[in-house]
Amino acid sequence: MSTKKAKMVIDKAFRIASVDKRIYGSFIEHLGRAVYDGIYQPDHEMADENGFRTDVINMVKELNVPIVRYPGGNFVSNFYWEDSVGPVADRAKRLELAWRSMETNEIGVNEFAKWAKSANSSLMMAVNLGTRGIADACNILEYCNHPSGTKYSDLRIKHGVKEPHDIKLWCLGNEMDGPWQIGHKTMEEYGRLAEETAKAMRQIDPGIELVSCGSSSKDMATFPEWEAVTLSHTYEYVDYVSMHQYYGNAGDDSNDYLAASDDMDAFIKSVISTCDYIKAKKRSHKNMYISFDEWNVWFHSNQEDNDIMEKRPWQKAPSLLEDIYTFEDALLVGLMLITLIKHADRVKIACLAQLVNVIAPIMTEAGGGTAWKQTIFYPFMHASKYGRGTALFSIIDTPKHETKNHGEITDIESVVVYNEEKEELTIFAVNRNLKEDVSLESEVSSFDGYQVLEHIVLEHDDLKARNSAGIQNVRPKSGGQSKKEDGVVISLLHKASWNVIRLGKGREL
Amino acid sequence: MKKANIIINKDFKSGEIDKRIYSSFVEHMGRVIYSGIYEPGHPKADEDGFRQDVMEKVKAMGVTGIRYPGGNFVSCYDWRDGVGPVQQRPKRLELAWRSVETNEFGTNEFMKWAGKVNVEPIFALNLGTKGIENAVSFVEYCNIAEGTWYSDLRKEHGVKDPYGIKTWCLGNEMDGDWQIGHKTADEYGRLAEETAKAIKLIDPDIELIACGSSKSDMDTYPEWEAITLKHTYDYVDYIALHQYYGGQEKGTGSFLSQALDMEKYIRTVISVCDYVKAEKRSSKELYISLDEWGIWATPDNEVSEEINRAPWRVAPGLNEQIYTMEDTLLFADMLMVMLKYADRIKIACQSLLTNISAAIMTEKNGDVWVQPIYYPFSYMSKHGRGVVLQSIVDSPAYQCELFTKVPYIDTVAVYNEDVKELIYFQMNRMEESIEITCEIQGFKPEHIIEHVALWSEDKKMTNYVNHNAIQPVQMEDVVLCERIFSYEIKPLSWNMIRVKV
Repeated sequence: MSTKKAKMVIDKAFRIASVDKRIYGSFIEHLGRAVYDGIYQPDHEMADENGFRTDVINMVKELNVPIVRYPGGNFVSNFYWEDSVGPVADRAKRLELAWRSMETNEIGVNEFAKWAKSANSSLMMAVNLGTRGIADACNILEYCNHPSGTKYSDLRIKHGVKEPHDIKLWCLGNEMDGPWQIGHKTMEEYGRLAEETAKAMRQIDPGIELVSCGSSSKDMATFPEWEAVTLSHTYEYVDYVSMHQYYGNAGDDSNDYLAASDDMDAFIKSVISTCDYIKAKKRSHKNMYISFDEWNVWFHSNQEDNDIMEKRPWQKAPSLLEDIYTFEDALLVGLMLITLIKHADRVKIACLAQLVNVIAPIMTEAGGGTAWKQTIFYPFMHASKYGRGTALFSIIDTPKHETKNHGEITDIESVVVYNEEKEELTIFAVNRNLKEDVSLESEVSSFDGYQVLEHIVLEHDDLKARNSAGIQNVRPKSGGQSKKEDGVVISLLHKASWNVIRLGKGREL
Repeated sequence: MKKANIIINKDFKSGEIDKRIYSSFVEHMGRVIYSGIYEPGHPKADEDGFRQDVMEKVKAMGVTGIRYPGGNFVSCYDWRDGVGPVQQRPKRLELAWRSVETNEFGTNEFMKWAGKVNVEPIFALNLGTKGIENAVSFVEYCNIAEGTWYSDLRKEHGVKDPYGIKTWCLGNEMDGDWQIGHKTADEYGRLAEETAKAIKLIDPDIELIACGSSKSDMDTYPEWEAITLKHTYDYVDYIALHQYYGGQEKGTGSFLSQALDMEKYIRTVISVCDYVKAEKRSSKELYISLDEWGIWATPDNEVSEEINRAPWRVAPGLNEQIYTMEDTLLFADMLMVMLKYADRIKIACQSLLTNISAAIMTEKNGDVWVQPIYYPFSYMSKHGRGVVLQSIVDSPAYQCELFTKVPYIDTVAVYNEDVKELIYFQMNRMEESIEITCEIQGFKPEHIIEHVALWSEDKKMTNYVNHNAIQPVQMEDVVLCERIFSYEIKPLSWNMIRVKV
């Protein structure tokens, strides 16, 4: 039986855009064990002098995460930032309404900024536009970014932080379109509030960049009207509109599940169209960019989460949203990364939600054991490491297969990133055909002298294979079959596999 | 000399050209019809009164479709006035252009003429002063075989077979306050929606065009598109887009930069369509019918002054604009921009066909001659068929009043697989020559078939006095070396280069 074939053409001259490194961002929310028992565990043997787990920090560094969104998420919509600064002993315990937990406020913006620095990352901050408004958004900005000589900047100095945090990126609330959001707003209400908050915040620090809330998912009844109406208010005062999207395989149809990245692609295109419609309506010369600041697979833990929140509320750091990812989840995460890179011209920020313990690539054992890597850790790590440079247009002719809800879809999804500086070219490709291998022929003749350096593969016979503490069932290996002949790279993409095919100039492995 | 570099690749395609992009427009206005295409008694008129000299020019121009009968005219037109025995047809006050319409020429005359010049008809309906009933009765008259009131009426009028007219415009420029029976976005959206639903009941194969904005600087643009499409999205196939550019007084650089405005306009309309598509949770893509486009060399107010100076004339000489070389460049560039969006623009009507902002000019009882805009249109219609390829352009640029960065060179490349040709249309917006290099990836170029250039030493030259002052010239200056060809593009010139591959 002959192998199915796919053909791809790339050309050095045909470029999408430079990939903004911030698309490899992530997210830490005061939720479950993300902060407490996640990044922060003062009594753990690997904890540093600030109580941060160095084993976790090292894994975050492996992922090379340039920005981390903080402190929420739904959490932020009833967050009182003043509670989380100053002497720890004096900090208030709060009922945390979004996740019905107990927030001790041991960690606040000053501590988190320290953590981010040791993880080689920077902060993307969110303000509370649920239960609070303009004044409190201005106050926290003043606290964080103003040098000194005013009430809140001096308060920061009094709290031992002499230099301003100088946080550049700010989210104007979180998922304000969602009825579950504390202080949820209609699009008119949110548009007005975000507009006025943005204007006021820019008065304090004109150098900041602002993110206006978009839809919480493509399935929201108010999408894309929400974007059109809110941007009609905020367009001139913000730099990004946010997108959030999670997928799951609750129906256990893996074939259809892996088509979800097509929905994500359509979602991004629709948001771009909406932005450009409002741009014309506002007679603006400014392009609106996308901050895809929550994305991942999320469904495994739903039932347990409801049990905890309903039956055992108000715990400190409960085990919420602890999805244990399967191999097929890693494939979808890879597909979602490919989708984000394909839109490098408009998607400038993206945050894998989240980073530690809560729907996360990095897990720590409850009660202080080891840290370990989930299946989804790997495609993210590969994209973050090799997906820097310029995204290229690729023309692909691929075999297709049928799905239950998405009709006929492509076997191969791929994107190519050219790192001009390093003279490297990386082909990211997923074969989402679960039954058949496909041979991918990539025409790269405009990259003279480039040779295959490495073909990394993530695959497993069992789509439901998972990792756990100490057991890495799903992990990448080198040695995939790729060779270059007459300007064409021929790669064997196994059924259900994530592939990273790296080429470099004049070097061979 | 400045240099520009252009790269294309066989695999990087942007859209298949729909031949209807080379359509034009015939309106009951001024001398477009009467003494334009129709002039009984003219020495060149045929037995139906159609000027054969004009028909020849229309055919040679490569016009593939014609929109009819308006334009602003349609918004107070009753199709019934234009059918049946000619002697019994009423003379009407024609409000849009304040003229007298004799109705000598109507639907059946137009269809006969369209058959003779082999163009596909695109009919417009009156949603200004009329509505659903007038529209459905007209469709019945044109498209139903027989056995009903209006189909039998057509037969009685001597037309046995139904026309099967496939494409219909739901009114004209209904966003414009000058339109007779102008409507708000919601009013038009509702009327167009219900009219569309009724028409599709008569003939489900009909394709419908909803009115978009009349130009990119309408106050209601692009809200008009968003609101009206929320009503019509599921029932129509195209949204109209109209655009004329003037502004010659701003200088050549600014004037020519308006092709970039056109591109922005098209992109925005596509964005609005896709926004509404997402809102409707629709899987249908909406296409664009750019069904009025051209250059205006005469300011609007001069035209209305002329109309108001002496209203209620029959076929007055209105708006008979004379085009310069400079006008021709922007005209050609507008068509080139459309080709770049061939994936979404399926119909476009150069406006108008004869005498008014036209390529073909007629003298009453006299000759026919062509303006310089005739040439790029005819070359593009003849050779611009196939698939548009994406071009990566590295061109020197200039700044002007309207745009901060306008590339001097514009280019579009088409691959015609049937004849194995690569066809480039290229334009120089600079008043100096530029050295152009074109890299061809994925093809083996064999030889240059031809290079045609259109330019004039005087950018304000027209064909008005000397009808042959501006004519295309066959050039022999393109050098092909393996996969690269190069030449010096003339100052302010339009060019076509055909490469055998």
